[in-house]
Amino acid sequence: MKKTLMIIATMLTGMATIAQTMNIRVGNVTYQFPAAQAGEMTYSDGTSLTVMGRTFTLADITSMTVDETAVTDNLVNIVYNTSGDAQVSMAGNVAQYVEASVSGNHVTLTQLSSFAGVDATSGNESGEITYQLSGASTDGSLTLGGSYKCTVQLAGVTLTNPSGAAINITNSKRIQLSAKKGTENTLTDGASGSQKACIYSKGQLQLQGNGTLNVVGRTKHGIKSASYIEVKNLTLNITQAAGDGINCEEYLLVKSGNISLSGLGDDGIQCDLDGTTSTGETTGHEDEDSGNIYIEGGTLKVNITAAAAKGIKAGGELRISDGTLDVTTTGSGAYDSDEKDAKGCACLKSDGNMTISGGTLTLKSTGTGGKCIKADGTLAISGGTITAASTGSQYRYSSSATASPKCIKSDGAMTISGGTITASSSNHEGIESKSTLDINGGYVCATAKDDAINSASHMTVSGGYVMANSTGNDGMDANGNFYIKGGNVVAIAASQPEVALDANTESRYQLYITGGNVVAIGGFENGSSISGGTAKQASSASSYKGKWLGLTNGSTQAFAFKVPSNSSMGSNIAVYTSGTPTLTTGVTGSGTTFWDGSGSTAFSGGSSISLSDYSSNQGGGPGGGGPGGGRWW
Amino acid sequence: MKKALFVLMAMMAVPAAYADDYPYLTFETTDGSKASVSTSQLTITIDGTTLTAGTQTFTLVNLAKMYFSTSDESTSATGVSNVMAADLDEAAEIYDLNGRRITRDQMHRGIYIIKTQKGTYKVNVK
Repeated sequence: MKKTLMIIATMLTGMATIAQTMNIRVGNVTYQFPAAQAGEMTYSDGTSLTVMGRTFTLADITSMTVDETAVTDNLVNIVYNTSGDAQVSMAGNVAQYVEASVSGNHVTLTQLSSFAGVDATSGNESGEITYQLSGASTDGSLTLGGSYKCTVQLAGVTLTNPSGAAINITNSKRIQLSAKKGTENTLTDGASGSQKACIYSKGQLQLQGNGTLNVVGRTKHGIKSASYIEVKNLTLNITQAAGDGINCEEYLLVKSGNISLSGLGDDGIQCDLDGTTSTGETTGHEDEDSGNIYIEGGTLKVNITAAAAKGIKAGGELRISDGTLDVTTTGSGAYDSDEKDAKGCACLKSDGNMTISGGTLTLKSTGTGGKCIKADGTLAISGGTITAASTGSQYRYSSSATASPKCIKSDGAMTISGGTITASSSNHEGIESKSTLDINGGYVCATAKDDAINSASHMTVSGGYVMANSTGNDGMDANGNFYIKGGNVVAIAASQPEVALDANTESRYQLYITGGNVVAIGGFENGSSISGGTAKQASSASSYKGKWLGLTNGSTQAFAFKVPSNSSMGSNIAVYTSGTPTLTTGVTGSGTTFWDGSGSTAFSGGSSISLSDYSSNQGGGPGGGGPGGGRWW
Repeated sequence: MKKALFVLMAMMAVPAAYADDYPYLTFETTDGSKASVSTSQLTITIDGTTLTAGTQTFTLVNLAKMYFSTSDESTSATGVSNVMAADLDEAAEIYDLNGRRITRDQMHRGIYIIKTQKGTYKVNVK
């Protein structure tokens, strides 16, 4: 029986291959007409032959053969050749719609305007043409023009064009640029050219496929679309670009994939508004022109070295809902002559609002004036895990043009409602809003030399777990009113005159504590309004450096935390809970841990610290720094 | 095992339906006559005003169309021209069906390809 099955299987294989194909070759282009489709091939006046709608001048035909080549409908196959010319083979069903010319290994293909999709039942749901590239050339390219959407599939191609773009798509419709599963593809353009990118598309560009695409952009960008770009599945490595790694307009969406960007002369990813007025996000991104960047998944590793360059820069909004981002900037600050201001690098930058609702973000900025997150609009963090560090010093172009390194900064209102944020800034503020700042959830751990958390206007904490540790200024500094209505707060200031929780009393603003569980090493701002609970205090905070303290509200444990070993630390420890607070030293943390391992929801053991009643005049003096905490400038 | 065999047979039936086999390429001239040639390893060449496909040679202006066919559709007169003796006298080249060039004296009963100043013809010598 096994033998019978073998025979049948062999027959099956054999039968599937029996299908004649008429191959009409014109120069380096072969048109392949399956016998079953060819129908009547008509001659006219002894000068021309028409097959499946395509007319050939007989004098131009190099050869005609019949063989059993399998033909895939809608497929145009381009094979580059290191020792000869590129060869193009074209499925008969699309032959009448595509003009092809080959000059060495430079291939130009044009989809005619008469094409509006072919047989949708032929295995290609959208009925579009697939241009499949393979082979290699050190002097080759693909130029694709015309009309109607199509797919460019990279099936193991290594292509260098020393005099222009490796792939230049002038077709303004949606283009799928796909790397075939299991293939590695490398595209390189020429230096000192006029092309906009190694891969340029006038139309929408969907980067996808389960293969690998390596890009080297020697003149400007690595990949550029004059419309939107979407990324799915693709492993994309841009190892060099004179400009941006990826540059597009309208919007950019990363659904999945693995993107690695390095060796860049400018930003990692930049998306700008195409027109003058943003549509905002539209349903299904239909006809969207927002300049927004959406990261919904995938892995992005971005390494930026250029001065004042950005890892991911949105001309509109930047929205991150998932994915793993590892972005590092090492470039210094620079003077922007257009805006007449000093600029620093930023790992993530939005000209509009920024929202982070998920994902794992590891951000590091080491250059002068560098920031990890910078939103020119509002910043809303509701999820995800953010680990960010800025280690640079201030960039100073002139006395009036400086860029200060901040870890997380927004020009608009900042809201933190979830997620886990660990932010550190070696020389300036850790988290700063140039407007209001509201924290109502999440785990926030900010460490900075300047204010750990700062707002230019009112600040409100009503939920979440907040650790704000400043080694040289205030723990939390509101340059408006400061409201603590709930949540769990540990703020640590440097020694006086800094305070742990600072409101702008100089401008008649005030600290209001009406709820939550609070520990302030360095005390509350003088003249604080405290209600709804009990405040107490202790002294000699420095004696607890490196120890775990536990805060209890009545009989309920609030949290435990490890006192940092700052060289400068306020002496006063002010505590507040809605019931009677007790503070225990030498506890062992348990339960859920947070604040980069320095906090926990529960604790055990330890011994009580003697607390006295809090006097609003026994805290620190006016906190250091005005708006922005400019003390360290 | 019977089930596996049945599945295999069923699978075989599907591709067989699509694996259209066209063993012939049939040429039709403007006068309606037809000549079929085998598609096996077929090379078609165009040389000036003539087209040669396997054993068949056609004057291009006389060709109307060609198509793949499942059977030999050659008519008795297909591709076989009546040649005037005068034309035969002017034959520049004569080939047998094996493609060997021969002289007029070597022609016996059978099919031959002759090239004249007026064109290329297939002739049946009886």
